[in-house]
Amino acid sequence: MAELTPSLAAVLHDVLGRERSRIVGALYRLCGGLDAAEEALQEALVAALATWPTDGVPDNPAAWLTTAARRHALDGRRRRGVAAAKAPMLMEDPMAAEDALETIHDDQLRLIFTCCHPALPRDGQVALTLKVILGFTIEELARAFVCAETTMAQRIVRAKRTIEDKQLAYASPGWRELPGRTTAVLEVLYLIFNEGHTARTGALARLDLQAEALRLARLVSELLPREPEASGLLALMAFGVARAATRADAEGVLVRLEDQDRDRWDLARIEEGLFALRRARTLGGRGSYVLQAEIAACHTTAPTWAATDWDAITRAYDELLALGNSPVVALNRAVAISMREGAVAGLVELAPLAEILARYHLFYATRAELLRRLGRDPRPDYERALALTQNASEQAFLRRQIASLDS
Amino acid sequence: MTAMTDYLLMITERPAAATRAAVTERAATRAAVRTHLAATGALVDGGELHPSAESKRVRRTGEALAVEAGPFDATLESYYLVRTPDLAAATALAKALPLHPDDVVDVRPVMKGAIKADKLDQPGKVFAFAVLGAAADEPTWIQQMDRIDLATHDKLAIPGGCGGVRLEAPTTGRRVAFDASKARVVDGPFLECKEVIGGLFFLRMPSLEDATRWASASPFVALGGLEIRELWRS
Repeated sequence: MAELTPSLAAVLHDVLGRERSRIVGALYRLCGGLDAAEEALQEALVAALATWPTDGVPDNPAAWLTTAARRHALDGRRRRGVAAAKAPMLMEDPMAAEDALETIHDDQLRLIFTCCHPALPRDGQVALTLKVILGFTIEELARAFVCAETTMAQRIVRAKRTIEDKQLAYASPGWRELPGRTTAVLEVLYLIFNEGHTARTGALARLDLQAEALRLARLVSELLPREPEASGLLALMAFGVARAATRADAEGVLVRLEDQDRDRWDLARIEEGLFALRRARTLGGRGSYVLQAEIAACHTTAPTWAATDWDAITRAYDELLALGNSPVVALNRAVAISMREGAVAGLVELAPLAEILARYHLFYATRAELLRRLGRDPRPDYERALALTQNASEQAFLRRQIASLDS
Repeated sequence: MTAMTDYLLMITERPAAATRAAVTERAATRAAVRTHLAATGALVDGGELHPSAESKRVRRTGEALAVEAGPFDATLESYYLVRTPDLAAATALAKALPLHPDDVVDVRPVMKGAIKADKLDQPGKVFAFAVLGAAADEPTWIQQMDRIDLATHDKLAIPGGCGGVRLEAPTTGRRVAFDASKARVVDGPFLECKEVIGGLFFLRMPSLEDATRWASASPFVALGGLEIRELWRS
């Protein structure tokens, strides 16, 4: 039995990786609360660890876990007696072996919409999504977001209480059509992805968070197949993950896009991104995520940095700016302009941003590069950028740039 | 009025792209093929499949169920259902596709059935199931497909079903092969592979595992074989 344990752990990990949102979604409907749903799944996992080593892994492990968890949920409701009346979402025989396809999709969407409810604070949405839907532990979350475990635990408890108090569970008909739901979900996924992209401190990329965000984006774009922004976000993340392994060198120092080894980019993720972007275009989307995906597609498919389609990228940035005037977008557009028309044109674009981006390290890092291309002194800007970033990988890169000025 | 017939154009899967340039070019080609066919007005439905490396083949040998993981040789990369007056017109469509040297397109008349064109607008994953038959000669292969048809013709009205087509025998179709200069028609196709596609149908399923489980218990596998491929949303 001892040698069975590692493979059993692998089976459970694999099943939960694929099916967790489906199982927890069904349990959430059945139990009427996130805590009860998570508890029921835990009980089922304990039961699996107790019986699978002797009985063998069932043919359909996900269905086995769901049925076992449903049994525990039902027992729990019986034990609580009167409290059962407070669970309004019990809609069908909990022992039904398999849910209908529509029920599965509804369950998953309800779970995601609840965790990302716009009435919750942003950090609560993110923590809940990672914990409930993806199964991160409090300890893992605390490490990922650089905070104390008690802080993270409180964040989760508060978010769950808000859901209960305000009855945000979407049990009523028409919950899918509520406005703002999709936007909030996509924002949470985007935030998780970016948290993985550039950590505020420590190592540059948390690849696991990015991969998890990509997995969720896949699920959301499957559940909302006619939403171009969901496909756009999926494409954007797929392109990001495709390049993730080359964003830092062996010492963990940032490698700029222009210096990355393009032969090491992940071809399967590039293909996935191109399909998702095509879907978004077919649906007629030109929202923020679709436009960012268009830009990422230009970069990801360009033969080299110099041979990038800067015209197309500039046009996409123009469209993005038209959606809402963001100084960070304007900064990125200035880089595209500098590649298309030269460093002087780039500096002209940067000038009006100096005040509003005065505390943003990438403004100075960008201006330093342009000054350097013109043979002017970039040192003060590199040093200001260095002082403004807490990211170790970026700091190391900037120190390297400064050191290279001396040689 | 000319009677119109449905034909299935099946583009053979190419080896996995090994470079970024190849991935990019392939994506552009796929989009161009779809656009080209849509512009002809003949396109009824079309789709592109995830790589066969991510797929399963399920068949039964005697009592034993065999589930084989891809990649597979000479299998589908994409399908296009077109409506034209005759085989010559469908073959002409295939020859005019914006494809590249070494690409192969099989053109087969549809015996019966229809595919739901809006299947990807519904939530969830959609899987394509290619019905495979293995036989020494065409009459035997046709008998095998008839048996499968008889056992399954009322079985596809299940939840998540998105329709499907049964194809005529391989010799009723044409194979179009592209080389450096032009597309040319090869006689056949023949029963040259050990398994030949006799139909294509679609189901919405939560995962490849669910699809494989469903397939394993189906008469398709009891009497022949199925290749299960996820459909890209594009």
